[in-house]
Amino acid sequence: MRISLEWLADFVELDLEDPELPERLANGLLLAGLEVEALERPERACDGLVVAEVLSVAPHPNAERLKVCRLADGARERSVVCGAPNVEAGLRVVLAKPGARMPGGMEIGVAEIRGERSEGMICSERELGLGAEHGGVMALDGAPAVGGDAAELLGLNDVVFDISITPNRADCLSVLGVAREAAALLGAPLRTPEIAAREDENAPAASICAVEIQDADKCPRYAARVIRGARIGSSPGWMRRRLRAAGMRPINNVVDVTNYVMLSLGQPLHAFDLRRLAGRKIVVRRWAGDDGPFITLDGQERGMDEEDLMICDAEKPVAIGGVMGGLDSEVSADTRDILLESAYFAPVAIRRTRRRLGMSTEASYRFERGVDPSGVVRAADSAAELIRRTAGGVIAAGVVDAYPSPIAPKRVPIRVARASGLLGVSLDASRVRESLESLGLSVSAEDAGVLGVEVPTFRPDIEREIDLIEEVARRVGYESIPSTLPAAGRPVAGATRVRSLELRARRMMLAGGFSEALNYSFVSGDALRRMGWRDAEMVALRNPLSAEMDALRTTLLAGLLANAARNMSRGAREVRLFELGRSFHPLEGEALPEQTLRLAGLLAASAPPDEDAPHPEALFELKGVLERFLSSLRMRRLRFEPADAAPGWDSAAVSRILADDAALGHIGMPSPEALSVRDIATGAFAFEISLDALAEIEPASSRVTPLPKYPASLRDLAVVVDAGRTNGQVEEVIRQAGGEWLESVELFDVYEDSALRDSGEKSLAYSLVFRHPEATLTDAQVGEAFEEILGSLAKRLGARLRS
Amino acid sequence: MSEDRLFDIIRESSDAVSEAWEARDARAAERARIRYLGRKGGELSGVMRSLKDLSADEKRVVGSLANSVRSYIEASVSAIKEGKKEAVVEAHRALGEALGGREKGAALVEKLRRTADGILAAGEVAAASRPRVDLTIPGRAPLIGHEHPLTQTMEDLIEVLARLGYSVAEGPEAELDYYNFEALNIPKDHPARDMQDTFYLAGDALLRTHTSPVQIRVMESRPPPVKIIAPGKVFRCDADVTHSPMFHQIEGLYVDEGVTLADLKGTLEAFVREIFGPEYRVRMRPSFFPFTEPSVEVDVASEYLAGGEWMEVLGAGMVDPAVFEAVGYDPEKWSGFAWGLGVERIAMLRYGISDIRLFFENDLRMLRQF
Repeated sequence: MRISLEWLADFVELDLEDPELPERLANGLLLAGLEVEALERPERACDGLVVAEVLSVAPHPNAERLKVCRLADGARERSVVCGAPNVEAGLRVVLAKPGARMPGGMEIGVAEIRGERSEGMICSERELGLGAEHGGVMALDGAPAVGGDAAELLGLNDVVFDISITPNRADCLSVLGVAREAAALLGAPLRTPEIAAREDENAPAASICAVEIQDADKCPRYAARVIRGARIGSSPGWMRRRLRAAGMRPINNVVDVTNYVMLSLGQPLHAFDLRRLAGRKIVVRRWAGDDGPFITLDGQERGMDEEDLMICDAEKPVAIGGVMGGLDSEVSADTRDILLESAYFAPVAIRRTRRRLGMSTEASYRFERGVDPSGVVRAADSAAELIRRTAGGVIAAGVVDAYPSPIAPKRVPIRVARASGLLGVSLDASRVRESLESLGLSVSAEDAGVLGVEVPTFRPDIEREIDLIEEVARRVGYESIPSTLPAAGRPVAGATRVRSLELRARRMMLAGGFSEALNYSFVSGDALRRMGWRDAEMVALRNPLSAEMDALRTTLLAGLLANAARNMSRGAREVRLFELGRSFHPLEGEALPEQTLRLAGLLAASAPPDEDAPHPEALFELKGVLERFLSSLRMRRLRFEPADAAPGWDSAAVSRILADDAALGHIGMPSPEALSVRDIATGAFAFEISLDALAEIEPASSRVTPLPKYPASLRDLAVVVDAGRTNGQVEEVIRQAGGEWLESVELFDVYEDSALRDSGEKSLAYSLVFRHPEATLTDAQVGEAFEEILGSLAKRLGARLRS
Repeated sequence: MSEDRLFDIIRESSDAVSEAWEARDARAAERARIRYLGRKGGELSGVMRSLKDLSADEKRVVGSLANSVRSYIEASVSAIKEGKKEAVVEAHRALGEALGGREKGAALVEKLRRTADGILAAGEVAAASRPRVDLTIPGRAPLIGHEHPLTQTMEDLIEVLARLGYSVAEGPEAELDYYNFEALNIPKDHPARDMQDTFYLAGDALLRTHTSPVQIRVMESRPPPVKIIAPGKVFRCDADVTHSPMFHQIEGLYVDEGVTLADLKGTLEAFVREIFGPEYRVRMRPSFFPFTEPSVEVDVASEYLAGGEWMEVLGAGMVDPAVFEAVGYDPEKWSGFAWGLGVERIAMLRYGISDIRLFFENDLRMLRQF
């Protein structure tokens, strides 16, 4: 909402000479909850601009298009050379005297123009910063006094406040409403300029037109006024100036008046061309199925439905109630008779329609927040009178006011003790009363610390005691509220297991050399599809910002792969990233998807020179970091099993991760399709696990194993097995056959030479540690266990000792 | 024989001592001390232990010499450490005298005398003759990852709030309309819905536009008092330099008997000063949120930030009675306050980042700075 200071001064007494007033007022409004986002003022005040009268106009002796004008500026006569086509004797104009400073900062001097002396400049609207019109000089209406200060007359030094109004404060969407706050702040009286309509008693409006409300729920009040014989033209300069300052474009005198009164009082108005209303009748009803296409005054055809409230004449809709008028009935250049609408519509009805139509107008914006139902007639009166003054014509007597069930002011009690108790500041009844009364509320009764408050209809936001308490707080001022710090107390709940897992996962990944990434929870559904996810496995956004973000992520890998690609395209040779976040999966029959907290790690690296893929050892580095995390959680029976095809993974290089037989996730290489989505040419290794699943698993005992008292016996074992065998299989056999004193088994080498490759075999080498808790093992005891292992490996896996 | 062993020790230790002195190498001197006098493997200690096998006479003779050797090593090592030339010379002379009466010791006495003379004659060795370690060479640290600036900021905020007695609560990112709006006093046809551009999913599901639904879920699940913070991701259809379609919020909620707006003010002042610094000024001004009343915006200012201009950092207010009614708390008995802040905004102020999109590019060149 843009409010001009000078306009505000119509409603509340302000000392406009006070140079500090704008800042003080802006700060006061801000602290009262009206956020002044900008304070616009001319950088330097203009001066030297006076009202002058053109006495005579003569052709310039040396230039065909120029004229030499004689002007009276109140002190003396001056000669000014002027090229405007519309300058003529008798006009009152703005003269910039020599030495004058224009609104743009330009200074005017005495000039010699083609041999004729010119003592100043006659100003156009554009030169005065009032608009784009540059066709000629600006003619001042209303015969202002010659010699008067034109800058003051035109408000050139006016200040504009740009105020952000919160949705609850519908009343502040007008100069009047802001003035009410300003009056309370400054302790100055609020004055409402009453503009009484000068009516023609011989022609009662009720005999010219009729109003019928068929849906009083959606339209509780509809008032009409009639003006006949008006002439459409442009509105006066002062009105155009105020409209522009408020950010509205002047159109013509009638439309400008409706906008002017809306800005001034907060009541949206609409002017119909009376002669285009069939039956000179207004019927307020819902859209009927057979109403036919409807075109709004912006030339758009609108698809209406049967919930929409329409303003109709005797035959057809002529406006969408509270939103926008129709093209056929709008005021045009040849309009003479006007029906002026001033109505109160139910906020919810207007909101529904304008949302459905996907449009918002100055009118709908105010109606959906709530205008003052009691202000309807006053706005109609003001507008009718202003139309009469600016467009001429005659105002028909009376208002045709359909208001079947008047809306009464609400009565809301407030307990003084409750207000004090909630705000934490000591208040007495008189302080509460003063606060509320300063805002225009009336305190009607007081009984045992309870005040009865009558809330005027312009404050629809005040319905409950708490709303009044907030008003009291605003008036008391938040800077006057003391500061108290409640005792910290004992936390009501500790951290959840999932959160502590998350913190530990972050620590372990950071320690492993992986940096943390944060990606959007939405990704490109197409990218997921290319990775192998099916639509039924994804949650789609109904209104995505773009196709790049149209589905919730099913996997964190999508984001990490995009990050890797981006980093590598910027020269990174190796990217190690992890992310902690949720993935989303539709749940049959549930309103909300499953939202699983996951940890994913990604290691992408450029291939070394002369090779086309990164070393596969990198995968085991990644796996090592994951294993370290899981073993720090004392996960039991951690297993990596070959997995069936999983979306996003290369089926030849992926394992399921299991702990205690529960599936945690996958580790391996992202599939070529997944890499190609982001054009990753080199290799990448990744894992992704569910922390929610991990949190469900009972960790192993946290008891410390006593330190060994007896020395260990070490044996190395190198066996040759079929290339298809896995370390996991071999290790399992070793553990099962090794007996109770086999303390640990550690793979230290995987070896293939050409001979082994030819026979389809490979060699695996382990170091085995044997230890007895109560004694030193003899060579014979260890040898026996070792033989047992060899035998078992040979029998179950066809393994032989490597020679 | 023990005495021969002692002579060997004198010979070897005096060489070690004079080398250590020449190099002014306190470490070498200490190594010598440990080698000969070390309690466990020290060579002289070994000789001392073997004394018990000797006759009383031998014990006396060898024992006194062994003590002289010990004094020599101790005195010369500490003299080397302190750089006292005269003390090193004196230690040699003292041992020479102790050896004086022994027939087998003549050669050793001569050696000790020459060593002492040599030390005296050598003059001062320039300290610079020993090469210095170049500590301008960059250090090498094991590779570790870098925490994301948003996580870092969020965890710091959580830590401050934990000290004020808040515990962490979480809720779903894909949320029901009821929790995100209805229960928070934002009915379907309320203009306040326009304050938050919402991403919708199927049916009544949407991406939460704020962390406030966690308030509702927590209050529904337990009776008061409640003192929680809810950190997490939130979503709004909006994207430019200062708006990201996904960002992070931390929501705080405190409900108890007799909680006041003054308590809210005190809490936020303490919180802001913990995060930004004690020199920050805090200002509350009226605002509007459907789920709190009175509602406030909180601004902070300091000369270090944007030239002292007030900057909006969080929104807050007293829990609206309608919210208490939605969760079945009696608004006449309980009162409370809630606030929410944008983590990105705090991180941007803190690290001087002006484009919010940088947080989600995960560019390692940026992450490595944290």
